[in-house]
Amino acid sequence: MPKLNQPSELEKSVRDAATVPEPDAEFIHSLRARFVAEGHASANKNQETFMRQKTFSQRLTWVLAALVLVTLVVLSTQPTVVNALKRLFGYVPNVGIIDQSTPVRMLTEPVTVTREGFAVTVEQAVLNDEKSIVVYSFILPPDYVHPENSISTTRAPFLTLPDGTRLDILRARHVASSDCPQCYLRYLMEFDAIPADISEATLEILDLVAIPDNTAPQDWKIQLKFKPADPADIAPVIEQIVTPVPTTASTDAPTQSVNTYGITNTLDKFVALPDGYILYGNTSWTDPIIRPYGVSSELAGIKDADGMDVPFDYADSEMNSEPSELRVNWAYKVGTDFKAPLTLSFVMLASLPADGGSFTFDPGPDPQPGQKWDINQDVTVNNEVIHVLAAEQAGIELGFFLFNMQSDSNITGASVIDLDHPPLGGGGGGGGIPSAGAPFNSGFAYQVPIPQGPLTLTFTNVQLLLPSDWTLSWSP
Amino acid sequence: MENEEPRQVEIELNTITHALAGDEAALARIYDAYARPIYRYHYSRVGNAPDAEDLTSQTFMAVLEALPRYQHRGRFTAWMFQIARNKVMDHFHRNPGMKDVTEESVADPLQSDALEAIYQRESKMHLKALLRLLEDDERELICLRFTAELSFVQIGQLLGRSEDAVRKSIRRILDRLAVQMEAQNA
Repeated sequence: MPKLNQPSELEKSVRDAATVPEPDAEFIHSLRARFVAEGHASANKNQETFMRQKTFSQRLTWVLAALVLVTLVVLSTQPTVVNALKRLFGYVPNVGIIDQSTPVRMLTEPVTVTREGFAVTVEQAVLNDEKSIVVYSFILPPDYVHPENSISTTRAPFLTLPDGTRLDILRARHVASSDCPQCYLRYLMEFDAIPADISEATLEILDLVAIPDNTAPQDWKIQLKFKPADPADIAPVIEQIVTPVPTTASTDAPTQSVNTYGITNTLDKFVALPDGYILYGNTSWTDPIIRPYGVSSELAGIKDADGMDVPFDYADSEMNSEPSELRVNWAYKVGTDFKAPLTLSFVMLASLPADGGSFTFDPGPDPQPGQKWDINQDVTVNNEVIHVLAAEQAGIELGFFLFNMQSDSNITGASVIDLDHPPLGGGGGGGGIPSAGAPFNSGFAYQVPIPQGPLTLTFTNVQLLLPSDWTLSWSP
Repeated sequence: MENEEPRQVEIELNTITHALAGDEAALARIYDAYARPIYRYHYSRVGNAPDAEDLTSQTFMAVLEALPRYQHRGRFTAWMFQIARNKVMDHFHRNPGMKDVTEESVADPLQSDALEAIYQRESKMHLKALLRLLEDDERELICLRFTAELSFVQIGQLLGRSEDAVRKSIRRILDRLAVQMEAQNA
């Protein structure tokens, strides 16, 4: 018998045989920077929701105005496709969609400052009456060694105007830098608008984002100068409203909105770039029974006119939904090598409250970890039947039960709760795109000691795979 | 009985709370604790570096998205690996033609052609072949234990099984492998 703390020879052999190559150090460090930067930025985003209300409402005004105009054009031209308002919004690479209804200014030129081998470049600035966006990237010295288990602290950067006014950062996010392999990180920051009569500002970066403490120079001051934007630097955003059409429709069939729970999946604009197109859209719903973030639309695939699969990539959907909105935005990028029109096939999942339905379960006086119980009860939830098949006390913590279920309907998930006993926590799981009829699990954690049975578990939520045609047809 | 040597550390609630608040040190601590084990897990499932890197990136971005909804029950590692597993399942769902290679295409780092290495090399190759013949769930147990280096407790939490059940399952697999190796060497 092997000694304690000394793995058996077989274990060592298995570990050896199961060994895989270590990850590339550059990848590990690059993802680390991205993870830390994104985590830092997304935490700030929550705190800045209030600040965003103002800019969001302004933006919403323009969006609504655009939609009214588009609607007018729709009524007077084709029912589904409109090219209009090419000048209202513009697209700037790395920055995204900007409002150009008021004068837009940009950097006179990128500015690079190098200190101790670190090169910081302010690549872009986009200024309008609504906000100021600044994008910077930086390159590490060739001999930089990333310390293991280091910590990094980033104090918030800010802009200083010539009169001393300080503009604090409103929000920030990591921006893809695949076009700049030597860049350690590219970072986008939003500030309040800079008055139109001010053409200079100083960007003060106190700490390079996501760089371990005490390994890089601090307190960078970078002078920025602005000039009116060159129209050539702003790609037009083409408003194009595309709503779902039945796949069996003839070419002259009218466009129809699919109205399951008031859900409409819409492609509303695109940007043509030299290497492809970015398609922007959203999934919205009107039925308040589905709460914010309660609908998940997932692009299952794109085919072109010849039925060929078209590769796509996820793009920045610009605005995330506000908590009060019944809408989620999406954006995908495709190349240029396809025969139009493209057919985008979506899978639509909705989570909505259960209208009741419960089952009973008796774990007995001394339930053991890993113990299983057959339940085999059919429960009607939202007019559909869920077969509750079995339960298992799962996991190392006592009191956590996993209930295995299946439904012949389009229910692909559910949540349960014991209304008589406060839970320790919820559970759940699953992965991939669910399919109707597939088994699923729902978890519930009791506080210890586990109450005496029989226990009654009540359904609180169900997840539905919405059986409708969620395809969109789009042509540039 | 396998010893429960220190393996994947658990992240404390304090670190998670700080990470949620955007504390870069806490975010870095989480990343440093899991980046390599999660990469190794992905590699062990897909068998190539580009896909493993892609899945690792996806996992960490999904972690950021899901972190506000995390409920701490002392099983952060299991939660992280649940996200990683979901990404792998997504991967195979989206690429039905791809096979879960679990070790199949991992390059065999042949040590040398020295005579004394031949026996070990053949044993190792035979063991690899035996690992490939395991059932999917058994292979995953081996990956989680010996590639990602999770503890029995963490694997139990991840798979919804007790520590004891995981320990026994792995013991059974090892015993069977031992018998098969013996048979080959006989």
